[in-house]
Amino acid sequence: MVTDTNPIEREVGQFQTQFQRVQDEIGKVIVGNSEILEGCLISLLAHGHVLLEGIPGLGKTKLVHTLANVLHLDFHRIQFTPDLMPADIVGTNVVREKATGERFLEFQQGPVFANIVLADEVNRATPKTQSALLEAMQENSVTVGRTTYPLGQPFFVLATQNPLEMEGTYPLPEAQLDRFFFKLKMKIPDVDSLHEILDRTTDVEAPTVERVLRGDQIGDMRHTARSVPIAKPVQDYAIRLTLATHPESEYAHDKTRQYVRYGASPRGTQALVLGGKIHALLRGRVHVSAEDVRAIALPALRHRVLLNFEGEADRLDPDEILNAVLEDCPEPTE
Amino acid sequence: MSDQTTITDLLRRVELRLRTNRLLASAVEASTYGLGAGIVLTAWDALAPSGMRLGMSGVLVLLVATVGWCAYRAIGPASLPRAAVTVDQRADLHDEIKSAYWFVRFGQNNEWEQLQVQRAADTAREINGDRLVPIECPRGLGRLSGLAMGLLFINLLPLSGLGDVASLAAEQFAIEDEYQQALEIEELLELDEEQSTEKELEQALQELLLEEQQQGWSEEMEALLEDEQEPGEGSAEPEDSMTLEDPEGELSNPGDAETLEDVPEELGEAEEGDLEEQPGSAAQQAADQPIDENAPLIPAGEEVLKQEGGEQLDSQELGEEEVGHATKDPDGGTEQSEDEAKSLEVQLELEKLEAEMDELHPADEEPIEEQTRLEQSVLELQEVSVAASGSTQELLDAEWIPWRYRVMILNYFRTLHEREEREHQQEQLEKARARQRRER
Repeated sequence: MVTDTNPIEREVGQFQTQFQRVQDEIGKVIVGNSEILEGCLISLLAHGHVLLEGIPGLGKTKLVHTLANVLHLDFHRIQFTPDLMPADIVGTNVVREKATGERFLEFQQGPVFANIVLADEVNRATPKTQSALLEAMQENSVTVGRTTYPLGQPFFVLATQNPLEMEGTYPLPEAQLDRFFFKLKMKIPDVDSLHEILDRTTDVEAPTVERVLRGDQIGDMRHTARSVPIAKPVQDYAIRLTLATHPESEYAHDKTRQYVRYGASPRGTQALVLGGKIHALLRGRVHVSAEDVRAIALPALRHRVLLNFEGEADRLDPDEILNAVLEDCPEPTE
Repeated sequence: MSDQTTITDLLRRVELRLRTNRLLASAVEASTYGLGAGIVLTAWDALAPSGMRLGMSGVLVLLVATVGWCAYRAIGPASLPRAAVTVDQRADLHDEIKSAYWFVRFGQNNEWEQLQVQRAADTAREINGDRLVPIECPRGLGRLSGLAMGLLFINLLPLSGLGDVASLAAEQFAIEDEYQQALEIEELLELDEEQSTEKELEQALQELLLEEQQQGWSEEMEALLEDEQEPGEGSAEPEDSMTLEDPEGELSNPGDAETLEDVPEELGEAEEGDLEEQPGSAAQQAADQPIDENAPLIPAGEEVLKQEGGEQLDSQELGEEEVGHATKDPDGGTEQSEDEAKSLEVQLELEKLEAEMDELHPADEEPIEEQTRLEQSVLELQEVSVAASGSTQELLDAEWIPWRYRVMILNYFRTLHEREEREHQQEQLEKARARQRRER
């Protein structure tokens, strides 16, 4: 008989409680978008980063700002423009003068030195500038000159892309897109949500949030998330889903063969497994099921599936291909 | 009972139920086929002649096959992982039992896996395997009962003996057929006899005619001889009678008399000879010649002429001129030119045949290589020339093309493809026209 004295059970319970508290607290400011919030938290707990797509005015900046406040983490916002330089992101050495008149170089940290970084409209900057941020995301460190400066933990980047204004932009290349754990799409709120938004934001008093989680607690949650075991058949299912996005694979779906140029990399499978573990923990389970893998398949794989010319000419959404794959890929049996 | 045993027991119970259901379904399926075949066999035994009845042997075979099929479906290794999948699906457990069973067999036995196995065991204790997987009534039971009724019904029908009646009728038909055949053979034999008799009669008639002809000839010859000898008996030649000058003395030459007297003998020799031999017949010459399979197909008359004038044709220099266009030899005789004309006609006919064959089997067109979809999907922006500047030019030089230009680019490639198709069709038309002009 399982009791609450079981340390694993307590750990799992604590994980669920903390997660729910963060969600509830953020929910005081942000209306709706529960899936977006859950995705951001899952990415944060999985050491990942998020690419957020949505039209202006949906509350992307507000969401990240609120998340930083609730988690008691440093937050920096970088507005990407075409004239932004890499040094504007990572920092640069500046010449300083001592009292004695001696000059020396001092490294001035850039805005990337924070726990939570909002990279707004990342596709407006040049590829050189984008690579500076992406290197920080991958390596968790910044190299200026000959010196490497580690970034603080947790380090979470939330990059946004504006799907409307694509003229004069530099969309992220495929190799860089693959570095994002999840790609989340923000939708326009419905009528009830809009009412709620107006009530909260046009009143005299604006809602405030409390800090409910510390940085070290996030580290514990990350460790808990990775401890969840996954059975081989379920892992095999995650692998088959990834391979089904490759047109040359034997598991490829018909739509994949017709519309896909390149499929998801092993990073996509990692995202499926890690995301599945956290999704299972949030439901109070200590094992990963195929259902957990399916639940996070779309955000984990949609930005890793590259369409060919036919797919782009037919204006196909990668979600359509992924939904077809999820429907036809059989669940593990043994 | 340990957690591991609890889980395994549940899975065994469920697996047994699944196997039972599978066995029942197989039995119904096999019985359905068996009863169907039984109905067919019963009808066959009723309608077939006595020598072709199967009797109980067919039924026995079916029975053995049915039992064998059921045994095959029943026997087999137990599949507990499949049972775990069934439990998870029916109880909506989100792969709990399946994961726990896997951890039991292959896991690392850490705290997390132990917790999972504990939880799964608790869940398994609450599950009644028999209720979760009840014994199912197999589908097709209604059909099976219908077939059983059908078999019973067909056994009750008075169909026995129909086969013998049918076989008797078949024998009767066979006898009649044989009688008809015998009559036809008799008629053919009579016809043969008549024909052979006719042939003999014809032959005899021909012989008679020949004899008469010969007799007629010999009588004429004798008459001639007599006429010639009458002036010789008068010994003295009348002076005023006209005499034929015979400077060379051929007529009074005993050799001539011998020659004329020899004619009946020659005729007689000829009589013994082959009546069909008629020297000088071109058709006979042609028939006597051996058949040359490699020789070109030309009429028999042409061939004879060719044979006669063949040597002259070979000596002509046709190498410099095209075959079929040999000019007339101005110094040659008319016979030679006729031969040349005939052979020219033959050669022209041959060329015409060859040309017709070429039209039927034209040279293979070069296949149009189409790019695969993968290759088509790669965009070569550098080859697209456009008068653009500033950010637009920078944009087009970028690796990615924005969404709003995709329709334009798609139409561009479609236009290129249509143009290529039109050009190809025009080429084909021009080739066909050139070929027609050559033929004229």
